[in-house]
Amino acid sequence: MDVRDHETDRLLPVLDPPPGGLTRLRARIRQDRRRRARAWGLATAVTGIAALLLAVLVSIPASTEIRALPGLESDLLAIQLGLVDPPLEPVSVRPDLRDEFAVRRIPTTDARVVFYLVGARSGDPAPPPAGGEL
Amino acid sequence: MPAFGEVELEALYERLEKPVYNVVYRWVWNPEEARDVVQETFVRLWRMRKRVEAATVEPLVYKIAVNLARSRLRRRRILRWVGLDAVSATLRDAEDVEAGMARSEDQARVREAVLALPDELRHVILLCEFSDMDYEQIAEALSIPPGTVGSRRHRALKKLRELLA
Repeated sequence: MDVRDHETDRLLPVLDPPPGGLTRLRARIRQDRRRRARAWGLATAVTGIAALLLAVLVSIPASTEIRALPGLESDLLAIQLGLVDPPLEPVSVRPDLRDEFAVRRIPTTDARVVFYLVGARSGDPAPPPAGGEL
Repeated sequence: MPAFGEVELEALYERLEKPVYNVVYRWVWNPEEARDVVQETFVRLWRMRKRVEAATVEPLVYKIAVNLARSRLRRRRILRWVGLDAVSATLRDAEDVEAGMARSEDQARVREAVLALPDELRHVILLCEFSDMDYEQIAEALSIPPGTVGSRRHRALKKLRELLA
């Protein structure tokens, strides 16, 4: 709009901006692009990680069900009532299953380490000389 | 401007850099700060390029620039009011540059007079004097009726004359 007259020319003279404006603008646009690309990359990575975490969380059951082994509660009750002796070893076979299964204690050279071999009796070959049923 | 790309942005910058700078300078009265505001204006325009329409791009540029300049001025006033020493020192430096720019006492008086104008009058007089926009476009940039542009320009000039008498 050409409304400038002598008075406004004197009061508000037209100034030249500092040089190099366009070069500076190009640099700022490039910088802005890079920053936005980085932000997008970061957002994508965060979204990916979040999706992965969600998938893992969904695949895990809401609560891990800890089921008592059949007969364990009655065994504990029997032990508490003094009907059955508590096992001397941490691994044992329930009395009613002893015809079918056996546990063999296999000591090692280290007294602190013990292996237990649990196996079915049917077709069970002759027990090895070391260890035996508890 | 169906596709507002880098080429269009640069062409627009080359055309509007000087008038926008002159408008912004009369807000911040500091060449470096005015240049920063002009740059920031075009960066913001670039970010919103998908929504830019050819018919309204020029008023939009001035709208962004004036808003940014006004924000800077407001922030500067707040900092000055708060009295942050470091900031005050920076501003004093800036004022030294301004003093260099104000080559004469007359220019300093003009600056005081322009600063004394109410914002709505200052907007109009600066856009009328430095932009190539017509009243319709200035009205669009300032979100006011076109008829108001003429009356405000008249009032602004009258006020400037009084202040400089």
